[in-house]
Amino acid sequence: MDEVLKATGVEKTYGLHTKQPFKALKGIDLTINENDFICIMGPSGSGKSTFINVISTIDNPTGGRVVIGGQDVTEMTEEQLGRFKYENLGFIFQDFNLIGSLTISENIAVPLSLSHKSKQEIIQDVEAVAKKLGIDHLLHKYPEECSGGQRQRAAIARALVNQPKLIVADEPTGNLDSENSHEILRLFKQLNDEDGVTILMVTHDSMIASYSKKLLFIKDGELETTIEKLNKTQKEYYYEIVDANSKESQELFQ
Amino acid sequence: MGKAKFALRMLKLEYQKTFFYGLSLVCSSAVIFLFFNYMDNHIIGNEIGTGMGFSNLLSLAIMLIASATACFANGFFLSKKNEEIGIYTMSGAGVGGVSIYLIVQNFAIIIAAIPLGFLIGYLANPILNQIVYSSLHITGNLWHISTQAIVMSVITLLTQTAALTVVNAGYAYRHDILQLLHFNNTMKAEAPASSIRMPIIVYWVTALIPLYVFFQVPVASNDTMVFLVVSCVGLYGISGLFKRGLPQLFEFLQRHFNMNHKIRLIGFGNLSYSIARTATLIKIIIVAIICMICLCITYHDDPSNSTLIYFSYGVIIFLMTFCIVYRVIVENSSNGPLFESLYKLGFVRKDLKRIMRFETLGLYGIILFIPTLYIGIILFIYIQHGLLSVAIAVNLVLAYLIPIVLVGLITYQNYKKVIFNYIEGGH
Amino acid sequence: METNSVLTAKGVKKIYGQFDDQKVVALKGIDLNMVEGEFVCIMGPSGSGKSTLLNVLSTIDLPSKGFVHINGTNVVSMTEYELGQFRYKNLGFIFQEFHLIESLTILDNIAVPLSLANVNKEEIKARVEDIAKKLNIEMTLEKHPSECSGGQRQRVAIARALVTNPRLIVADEPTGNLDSQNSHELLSIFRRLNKEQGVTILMVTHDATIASYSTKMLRIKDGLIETELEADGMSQKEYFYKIVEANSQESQLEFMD
Repeated sequence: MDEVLKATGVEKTYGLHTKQPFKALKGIDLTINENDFICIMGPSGSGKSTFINVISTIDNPTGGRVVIGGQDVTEMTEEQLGRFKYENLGFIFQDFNLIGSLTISENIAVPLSLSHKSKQEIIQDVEAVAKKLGIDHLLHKYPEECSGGQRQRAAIARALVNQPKLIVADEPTGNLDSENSHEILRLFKQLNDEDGVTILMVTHDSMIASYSKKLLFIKDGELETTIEKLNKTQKEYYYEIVDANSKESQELFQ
Repeated sequence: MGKAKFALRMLKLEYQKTFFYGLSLVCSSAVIFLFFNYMDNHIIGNEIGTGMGFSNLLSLAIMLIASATACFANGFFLSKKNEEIGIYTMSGAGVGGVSIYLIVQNFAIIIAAIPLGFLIGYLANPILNQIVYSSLHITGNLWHISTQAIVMSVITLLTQTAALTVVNAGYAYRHDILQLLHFNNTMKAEAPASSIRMPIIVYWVTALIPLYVFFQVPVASNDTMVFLVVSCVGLYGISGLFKRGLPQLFEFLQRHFNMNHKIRLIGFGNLSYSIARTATLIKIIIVAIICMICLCITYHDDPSNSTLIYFSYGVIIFLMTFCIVYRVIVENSSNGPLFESLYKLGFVRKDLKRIMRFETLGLYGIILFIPTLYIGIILFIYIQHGLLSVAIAVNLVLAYLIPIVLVGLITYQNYKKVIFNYIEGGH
Repeated sequence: METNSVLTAKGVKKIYGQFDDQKVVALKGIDLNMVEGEFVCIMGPSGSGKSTLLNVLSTIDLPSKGFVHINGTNVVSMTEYELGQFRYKNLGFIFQEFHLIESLTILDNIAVPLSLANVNKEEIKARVEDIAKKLNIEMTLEKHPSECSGGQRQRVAIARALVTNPRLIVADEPTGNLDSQNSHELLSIFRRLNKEQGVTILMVTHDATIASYSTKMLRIKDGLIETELEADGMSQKEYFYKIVEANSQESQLEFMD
């Protein structure tokens, strides 16, 4: 299996030059292989968002290395990084981050506008990915005119349109109701199973996490637990995740 | 008066928040003071309330615009207080309490700003008088101040204060706790208007018709009324273009030409959004510039009136640019999340700067281009007929061109600062 | 009505949108009775109407139909002016964001409700110090919010909500911005207030471990109360697993194997 991402000894310290530097990440190792579907969980303040930002080139680590597709992203210039991001990574955010003044098709085309493709190619790519996600009838609408689920699909289409090596999703269901959340996760699973898309996701919801193949639990800036789904049913996997998440809390129960 | 005391304490602690509001009040008081002084300057034969029906009208317009500027600034002042007001509401302050709180703060600012404005007006008065006297070739007391003018200024400012008070009291009513606490001005497309739809071509034709008609109407040396009327017809079309024509044009450009252009793809979207948000203000500016230029042309060889008109022209431009830069800066600061997600998607700083430049250029380009199109032709016709000197025409155009270009630069600089601060984690 | 009833809601409906084709029914008729000393937690998937319910029950929003009584007063028919007074005397709000005023010290932040209500200086100081001691933040009183940790700031927000001695605390995702240690500390404070001082608490959360501190859990779905669960005699752990089950039942049906 091909290695997509390799992070070694990733550290992040905030306020490095102040009196009270804060160590958000204390040296995390992670290898993501092609066709992985990894979920990161952890209590708020555990460093999971920092971690996902650092390994997806949005934030710089203060120590360690992040290698994506064989390239060390921690040593790239801003220009190289920008190019690298749209060629290799697809981002999905909690609040969709679609541009209100652009139509759905233009929104999906945004990453492609950074490439050197022609208009026709872009329009073809946009239509193909929209069809796949069942939003081809929405292409000329504005985000405002679409429902939450549709908007998140558009955001996923935008993330997929440049065929990235890795999809990074930060709380992708944070603004969706449970029905839409399950639908989006089924879509993720389908993309992962059928098209071999590699996914890295952060969530706080054990239910959502139970769709992944592997769970990493982060606490106090360190990798605490790793759970693999293997041949468990989703329900068994789900309860294992619930336990991992509430272990510490339960110790505080009276 | 617990609330009043608390309001004053908060005002002292958060004086930065009131800076712009205070400044605009100072400016408008100074302008009003100067203006009335000029209107009632016996040395040059002006007297409030006698003759000169038209200059009374002009003074009314100036007062209105100065008050409108203050109201704009007041709205901005209030919008910065949303979370604060939310906290008071959930702490049991109630509508009455919040109103008292806002009104007390407002009065405190006004009481400080008006005397300061008068002082600035008083100090600027000799400069203005010097210009007026020398243009009329008379000599007189440069420090001339009329009591009548002071009374009128005070009355105007009191009216303005009363209006602001009502606005402030009303503010507490219109908002509930949740809106105040979760105040976010992210981009939202305007809901499509459901009224009867004029075909867009009508707007284009109406907007372009004056360009032809200007050449067909009779030209009189001291009457620009006909040009003004034609311009107003054109403005109806322009106003429709702002609402629907330009968004449609941009959409067309997006779909057919810009899908693969990273700057224009985003830039046009943002631009059409900013135009929608600032359309009213832009229209007022365009109308004001055209009206004032027509007046300037009409009275340019009538020395006693022309100075007054030039002066009003300057004042209006000053206040208008003040409003627009204000409004645009407020709108731009809500674009932080948008630029942040672009940055995450792989746009680099250079790209983001280019988008901002495109947007700013586009917006100020429109503010400049439309009136210049009309005015350019009107001035050209008058020059051609030998009724106006080229020097005056150029000066009239530069008088609005320079300030608007200047505020465009300021806007761009501020835009960059706000957005990059946001991206670098200032939120 | 029972004498010790703090909050009663009957047939509460909330409909958004004016025209028939855009109407969204967020609450479809909710009946609820909270007695003094209860600690009720509202849960439910996003979009279920749980926050709307909290808002409608706590005077932040008005129901479209039905009535809400707090301490025997119908809050739906109150004027804006009466509402202010009513909130001051009866309600304490805590939100996910702490909503502290940066330019004020912690002491002044806690004192905001009292300052607005014209309480004299000595009394303000005494009451703030008293509440700060209870919440273990008396050493931060002279600091500004930016100099305090997240946990401290949320305790300041609680202190501000409690300083008026309200009968009912309304908390919307109060631990949303806190790490687990601080969250549990906060809930321990809630439990102490509830048990020792009989403060009635109404809280919305999505986190089952947080909800397990309550005495009663209501699960909202599609604008109706779907499940009611009481802690009665269960250990916190047992109650926690019951809550997890109640919240995941329906989702488990979506599982693919």
